[in-house]
Amino acid sequence: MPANNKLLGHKLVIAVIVLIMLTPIAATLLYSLSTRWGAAVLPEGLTLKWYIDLLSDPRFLLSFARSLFVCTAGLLLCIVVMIPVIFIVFYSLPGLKKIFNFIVVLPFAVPPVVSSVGLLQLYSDGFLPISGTFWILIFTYFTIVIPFVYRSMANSFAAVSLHDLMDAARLLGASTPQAFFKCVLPNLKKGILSAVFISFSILIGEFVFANILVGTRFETLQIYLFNTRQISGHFTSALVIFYFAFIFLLTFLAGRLGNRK
Amino acid sequence: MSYVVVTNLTKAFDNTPVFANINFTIEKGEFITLLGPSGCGKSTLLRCIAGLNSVNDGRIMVEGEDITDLPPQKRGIGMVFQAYALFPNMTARENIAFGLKIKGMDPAEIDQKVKSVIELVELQGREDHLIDELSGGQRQRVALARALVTRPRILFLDEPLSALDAKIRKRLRYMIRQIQKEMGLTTIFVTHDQEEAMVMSDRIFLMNKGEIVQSGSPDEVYTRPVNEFAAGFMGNYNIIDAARSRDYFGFNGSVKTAVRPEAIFINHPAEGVECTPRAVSGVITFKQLLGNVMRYAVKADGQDFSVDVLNSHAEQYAEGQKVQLYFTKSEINELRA
Repeated sequence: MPANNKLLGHKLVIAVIVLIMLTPIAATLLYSLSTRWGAAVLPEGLTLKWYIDLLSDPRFLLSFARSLFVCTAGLLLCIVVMIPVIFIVFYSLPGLKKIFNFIVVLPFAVPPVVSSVGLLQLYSDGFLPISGTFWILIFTYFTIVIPFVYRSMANSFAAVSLHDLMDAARLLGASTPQAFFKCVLPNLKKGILSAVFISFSILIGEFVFANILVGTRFETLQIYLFNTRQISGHFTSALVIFYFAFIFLLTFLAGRLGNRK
Repeated sequence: MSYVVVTNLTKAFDNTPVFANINFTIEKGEFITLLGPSGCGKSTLLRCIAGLNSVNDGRIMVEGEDITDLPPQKRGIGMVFQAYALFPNMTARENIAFGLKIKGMDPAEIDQKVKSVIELVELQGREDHLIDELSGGQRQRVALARALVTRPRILFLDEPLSALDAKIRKRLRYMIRQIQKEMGLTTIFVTHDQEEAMVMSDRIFLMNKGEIVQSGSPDEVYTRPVNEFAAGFMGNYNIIDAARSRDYFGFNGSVKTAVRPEAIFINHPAEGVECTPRAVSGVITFKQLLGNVMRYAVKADGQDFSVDVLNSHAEQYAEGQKVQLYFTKSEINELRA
């Protein structure tokens, strides 16, 4: 049966790839659950000690809360600013699309180490002296996620017949904002959700900007991870697994929300 | 004063004129079709009257009220779009109710109005489905219901049937015409399909390159084309040049003429039909069965004529046969240059 053989081959390839990708996570998980794992092939014993240590460390909980806060704030700011901007570009100024396609790759083009120096310079003095505070991180995160938010929302805007929907709603008596919020925005839900989840995953793993711009003055999850890396490998592993689980949960929720009608 | 009066309406996109100095009037309850090839400006004209595009000059009056500068929300115009433009986040019922909800109508009254319009467009049982779950014909009926339920002063139909297959198109155009007559609704319909225009309209405005070339009843526009474009667009007219027109029909000057294929007879005129004295001899080069009609291509005097004969078995001509062509006197149209 050649067809079956072929299918088996495909499955095998997938299985190998999945295995390769899962191995480091599985090893980290096992390490985070073991009492000691040095001398033998297998760990000496299993324990939840590292997780208990981690979750009872107020410094960890605070850093996690800080991360959630700056990521959410930066992301919300970005969504709130970008929705009207993208709407205007697509609805009345389509000529700007080209310029936007260029602008949104800029955050990728400049390495974080370079742009953080610029940001420090910009915000140290002058009109907005927020260097070293979490505000600078929020505004920076806002810029980092613009490409992801713009791209996934632009795709959703392109997928709905924006002008027809707006025209239809306006002829039925809706004002332009009413037409947008009632007849267009609900159809962009998928795009917005996917933008939110991908951006959130990226922001919560962000280290370079957080470290250079605010450092220990505002310890985020990644900075905490960096600062506590010397304590114990088991402890760090527990932290990494916790972080993975959190991202996994987010992705899972994104999938669920996105598929629901 | 007429129900709708459009005077000197002019529109240009960045100095590219779309149409200029459009004038027409529409009576209450009339079904008007803007007919023309794509790019002739008919959809833009409709959108300008609806207030979706601005105009550069001219006036639009409805029921004696100048609506030229009103926003689309206040014009009292209902519109059905070619691509449906239904709100995908709402069910059929919610789509239909949208206009009434925005107006702040009492929910009980909305329910009742929506219910009756759903019956009118025969969508019972589909009203709680999302738009994705409906077929093209059903979607367009939702769109029609959504426009009708607000009781618009004028109903605009922008190529509403173009995206549908032939069978549904025929059913829906009958339904639209029925409802329009019942409600006495003043309607402007845009299409590029001359058959659709003839079947549905009280009057046709034939458009080309941003102007109304001819307007009149379907019969008038079909049988009396005013120029070569109208003749070519409305039917399968034979266009006869000025020299031959003088020769065959005794016309003076340099006018071209147009004759419909069914107004030409082969070998002998039909009984009781007065034909021009001069017959033209030619040879049948091709014949084609169109169902109820047999279409002959005849080469005569260096020109190709197309002649339609009702498909009766009594008379058939063979390809290569020599024939005489007779032209019905009253069906020869002088064309404007």
